[in-house]
Amino acid sequence: MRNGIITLLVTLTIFIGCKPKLSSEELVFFNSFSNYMFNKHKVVLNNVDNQSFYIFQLEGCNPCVQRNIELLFSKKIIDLTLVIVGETKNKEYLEKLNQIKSNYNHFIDIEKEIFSYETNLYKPFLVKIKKGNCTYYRNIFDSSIKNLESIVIND
Amino acid sequence: MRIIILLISICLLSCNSERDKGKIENYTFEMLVEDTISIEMPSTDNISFQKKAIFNDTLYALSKNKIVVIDLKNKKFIDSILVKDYFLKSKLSSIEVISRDSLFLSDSPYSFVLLNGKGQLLSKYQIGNENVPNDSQFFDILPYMITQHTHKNIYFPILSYTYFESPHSHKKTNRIAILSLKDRIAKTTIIPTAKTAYIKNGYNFPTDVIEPNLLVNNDKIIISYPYDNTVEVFDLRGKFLFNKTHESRFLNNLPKPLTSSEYNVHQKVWNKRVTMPFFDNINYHSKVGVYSRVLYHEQELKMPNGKLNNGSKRKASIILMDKEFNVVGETLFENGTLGVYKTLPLSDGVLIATNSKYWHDENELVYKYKYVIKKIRK
Repeated sequence: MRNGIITLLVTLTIFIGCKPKLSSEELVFFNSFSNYMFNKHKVVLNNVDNQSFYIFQLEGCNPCVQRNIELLFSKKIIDLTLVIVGETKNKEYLEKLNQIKSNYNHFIDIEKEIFSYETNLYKPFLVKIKKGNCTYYRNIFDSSIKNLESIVIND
Repeated sequence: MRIIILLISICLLSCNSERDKGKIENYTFEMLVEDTISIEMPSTDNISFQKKAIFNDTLYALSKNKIVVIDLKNKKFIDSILVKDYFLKSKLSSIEVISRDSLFLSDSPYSFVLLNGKGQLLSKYQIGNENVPNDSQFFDILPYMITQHTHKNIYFPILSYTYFESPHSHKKTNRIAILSLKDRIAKTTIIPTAKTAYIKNGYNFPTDVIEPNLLVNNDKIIISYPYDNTVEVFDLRGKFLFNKTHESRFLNNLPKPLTSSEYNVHQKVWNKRVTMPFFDNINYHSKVGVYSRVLYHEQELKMPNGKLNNGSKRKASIILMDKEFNVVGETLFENGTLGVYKTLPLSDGVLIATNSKYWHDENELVYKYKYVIKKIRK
């Protein structure tokens, strides 16, 4: 009996101590995103450290696409890897995308395979990973895109 | 106890199968495959078959600034009508064919043009908010929101943007616009949601299944909602006439709505849309005097490979109804053979396309199978 209580307390301590900052929903999304990154891009997120992933669509609403392209074209955010979903025929965007691709480590998903996974992609989202663990998984709404760099660094 | 439960289950199953058998025996119409169609388009046209209209078995589909005309009866491409840039503000978004020489097009919620069969301007319509009540706004006519016409008027839904957030608060204030082609004035009439289709306060469905569907036929406006099996019938002025509920032998229960907290998580909304059964718009087939409505069946969230279900195997059925909306037949389509929103209504049947994950601009007609509605010989 006593041993059972001790085991329970130790388990609870480990569980609470290691509990990620993510909600249960965010954890489901992150697990799906991990599966996607492995199946589509052969990236094992457990092996990633101090890296952020920013996932955005080229076929989303135009103001959102424009804000993302302008921001990523105008600055290089450190330790940020891009996952670019879909494609665009807009010549202005295509020219800027070429520059963005040369500035950032990136993955391309023209076939939009990410939508086969429960990642909650509708607005762009940011995933932060430290020592293989996800510490941040949130959608970035239009009004916050301009603050992406500070969110990557600080939040 | 287990034996009692087993016996009750067997009894229920046998009752259901008896009920289904009874339904099938009462059927007087069925759909039969008649033909396969293959029509090559000019390779320069990237055609959106999501944006289309049917007139006398001729298909009108849209590309960026062209109307593509296809003769379905004789299986051939007929024409590509150029819509001059200065008529329009952006890409063409919807078409209604009033006659071969009278094509009604929109490129935004507020801007419509009436062109003749050569693409020449007959009339232009700018609809301002001054013509509609303060609490409603014109909503862009999306490809799955169908405009309908009599020869005098064009009918299309007008919804408040807040309807999508809180359908409950708009259950008595949904409107349709009636645009007079002659006077160029849009009036609105209130079409309340059918009582059986009320969505309770704090609940919701994914956006594309709460938009009211509209059919104007035989001087009646017929309204239905994709999440519900009730048909509401109004006269052309918006006066309520009657409603009717139609059953399907493949639908035991109507879909349950999402709670507000579920609705706030996009992935949960999409998961609901993937799994829930829902109906398509009602069509009328004039040669056989029968209405039809597609039911997309419930399906599992995930496929055997663990990925979200892409609908490639989704079952669907076409429910056939007489002029009083009594069910007179139902034909099952298995294995994704009837894709979501992939039905073109014809005067004697339908043209259908198989499921595809995304809509693409095409240079070949995607609707390849023709089914006709036939009276069952007994």
